[in-house]
This record gives sequence, structure tokens and C-alpha cells, in this order.
Amino acid sequence: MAPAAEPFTHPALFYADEAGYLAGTVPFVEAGLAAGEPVAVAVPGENLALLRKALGGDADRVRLLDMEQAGRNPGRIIPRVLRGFADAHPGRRVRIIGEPIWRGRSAGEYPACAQHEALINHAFTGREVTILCPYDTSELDEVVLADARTTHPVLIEDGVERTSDAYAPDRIVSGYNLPLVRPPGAARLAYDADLLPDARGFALERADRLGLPADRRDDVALAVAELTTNSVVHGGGTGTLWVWAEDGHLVCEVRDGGKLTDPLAGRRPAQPGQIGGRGLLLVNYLADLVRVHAVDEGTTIRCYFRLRS
Amino acid sequence: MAVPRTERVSVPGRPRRPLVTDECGSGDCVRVSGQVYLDTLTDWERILGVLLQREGDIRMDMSDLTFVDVAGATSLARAAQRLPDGRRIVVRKPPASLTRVLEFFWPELVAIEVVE
Repeated sequence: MAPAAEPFTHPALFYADEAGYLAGTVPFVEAGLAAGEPVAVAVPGENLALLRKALGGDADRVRLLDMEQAGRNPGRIIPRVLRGFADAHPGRRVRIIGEPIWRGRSAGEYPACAQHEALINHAFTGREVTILCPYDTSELDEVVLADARTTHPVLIEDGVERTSDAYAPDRIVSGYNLPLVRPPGAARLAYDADLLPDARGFALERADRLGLPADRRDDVALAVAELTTNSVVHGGGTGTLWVWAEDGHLVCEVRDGGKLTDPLAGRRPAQPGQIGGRGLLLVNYLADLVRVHAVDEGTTIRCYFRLRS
Repeated sequence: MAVPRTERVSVPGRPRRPLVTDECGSGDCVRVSGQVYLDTLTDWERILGVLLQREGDIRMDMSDLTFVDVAGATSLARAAQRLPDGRRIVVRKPPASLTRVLEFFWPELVAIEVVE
């Protein structure tokens, strides 16, 4: 890859089959290893197996992650997967293959995936990092591929690398900042500072009734506690919590009058000595999906937890 | 040094569910009961501040502490980070919420030891 003024590079790799996938990824990994760069691969399980086999003994020198697990919630990919790896190697150029979008991503997940891809550009500006994002052109919708051309400054297809004319990541961040529709009949609780513990109890009581596995109760308790506390501290002092079940998930939604203006909120890894700023980050770590709708009038944050583990 | 004792009474302007502390067992152990939330964070930090003045390891029985939020966990971690080398905060039966947050954000913090 030609050296550029901006040390961060973020190409999308369009592939249509196994051969195209390996032709685009294996040399990328091998070149990194040859240059002594730390290399990580975070891709869906099937592609991970494919790459592991193709890399042979070199796979041991690469950090391999199943993106379907590590990146199930797109909101945690930047802090936990990408920066998690890059920050562990300070002062060195690192390269990462990150494949956050695959055929099985739901309609609810996709907007968060696209926003994640757009926000990578802001999260890594000025960093000595290359993140290659494969897109399966045989499986993914044309809208997804068009979005990839908007979120990636560089595109690689059939071995040819070119600058994306459509690159405009902020358009994706705002374009997918969509109103979130709630089903009728969702249980509702209005809270203020005095009712914060009650809000947590309310969510847990509904979660139990809706069949949340016992090992996810603490995740829900912490996520609801942080979101409702944020309303009290940053969102005008009050908020409303809704809880319901939808498509095999428990959904907890918090709405308040706060204005969320920082698109990277909840996506910056916390430093050990840092005092605040962990609440939304923790919600991203715990939930299986987080969706946000932020407008001048207020902020809605919705988190999803799988009902079956 | 005495740890401030708080009572389970509702006073206007005070947390509805204050933290309760009492000395427990031998070896300078303090039991904290209740939940650490926005409204009890100041109490929690005062308790930690008093404990930091003591000599030796700090022993906290958390078996009656039902919840600690991220801000509360942060205060505990920062207290542990301020301890001189060799001193620890030994925590008995912490709530799962606290353990989970410590694992996420301070996995290498050896100054907090969790015991059953």
C-alpha cells in the first residue's frame, strides 16, 4: 500500500467467493507479519476457519477473533476489538482485518454496523493502523455495498485499489440516526434520581418474566443502571424506561432530554486512571446490540439482550 | 479510626436507601450494606476515604451489598490505585455487578483482592 500523509488506512475489500477472499486477505496478513507488525483478524466464524487454514503455521502469529462473538454488538468493535488490539501495541503500526457485516446481520443490527464503519475513520485518525474490511458482494445487499463505498476512503476489488469517490462517512452516521419504533404495550416506568434503583428492579422483574437467562441478569442490571443514571446526571434529571421482548431479545430503552453530541461516546476505551466516561462504554460491552437515536430534543438509547444464550 | 455509621431512616435530602456500615469480626473488617448508586456515591467515597487512613490492608465485607454501579466501582478502583505498594483492599463476597465492572476496566489491578 502506498504511503500516505494520513497514517491511518481503512480500505474495503469487495470479494465474491472464497478465492477472492483469500487473495485479498492472506497477502495482507503475510505482508504485516513480514514487516514485523502485530496482526489481528476479526471476522465471522466461517471466514475465520478459512483464513486459519490458509495461513497454516502463520496463524499462530496472528490474533484471531470470531467477530460474531467479539463484535456481536457493533458498538463495542472499536473500543474492545480494534483499539483493544492497537492500544496493546503502542508505538507500532498494526494491521487488522475487521469484517463487521455479514449476511446474517439483522435489519435492527445493520444501521449500527454502518455507523460503526463510519466512526472507525474518526476513532483512528492519526494512528499508525490499517484496518481492512471485507465485504461479500455475492451475499450482501446493494445498499450495504454502497454504504461501504461511503464509509471507506479506499476500495479494493479484483486486486485493484482505488480511492472511493463516494467517501463521506458522516453522512452514514447521521443517515442511520433513525427514530426507533417501540411496539405497543411495552412496560414503562418514568424515573428520577430517587427512583434509579427502582428502575433497575423494574427492568429485572420484567426480564425474568420474559425469560432472560439467569447469567445475563447482571448485564441488564448494570446497563439499565448506567443508562438511567446518565439521564439523571446528563439528561435533564428524569427519563423514561421501557422494557419488552422482540425477536428473541429482551429490549430495554431509555429516553431522556439529554443531547448526545459526541458520536464516539461509548466507543473510546477507558484508561485505568480515568474518572468518568465508562457508563455507555460498559453498555456497549454488555449488550448484544445498542441502538441510539439522538436529536436536539433528546436521546433514546436501546439495548438488546438475547433471551436464549 | 471510626467509620461513619449511617442509619436506615428516611430524611429529606438524604438517600432513600443509605449505605450502612459496621465493624465486623476481627482484623479491622468493615461491613457495608445497601447499594452504591448515584445517591449513595458520596457516602461510599467517604467510607473509602476513612478506610484509606487506616494502617495495613483494608478489609471490606460486601456480602450485604447488593449493587455497585460503575461510578462506585471507579471510586473503589481509584482508592486501590492510591494505596502504597504492598497494601491491598480485600473484598469479601462482592456483588456480581462490581466483579464484572472490575474485570472489564481494571483486570490488572492487583491491589483489590476478592475473597469468598
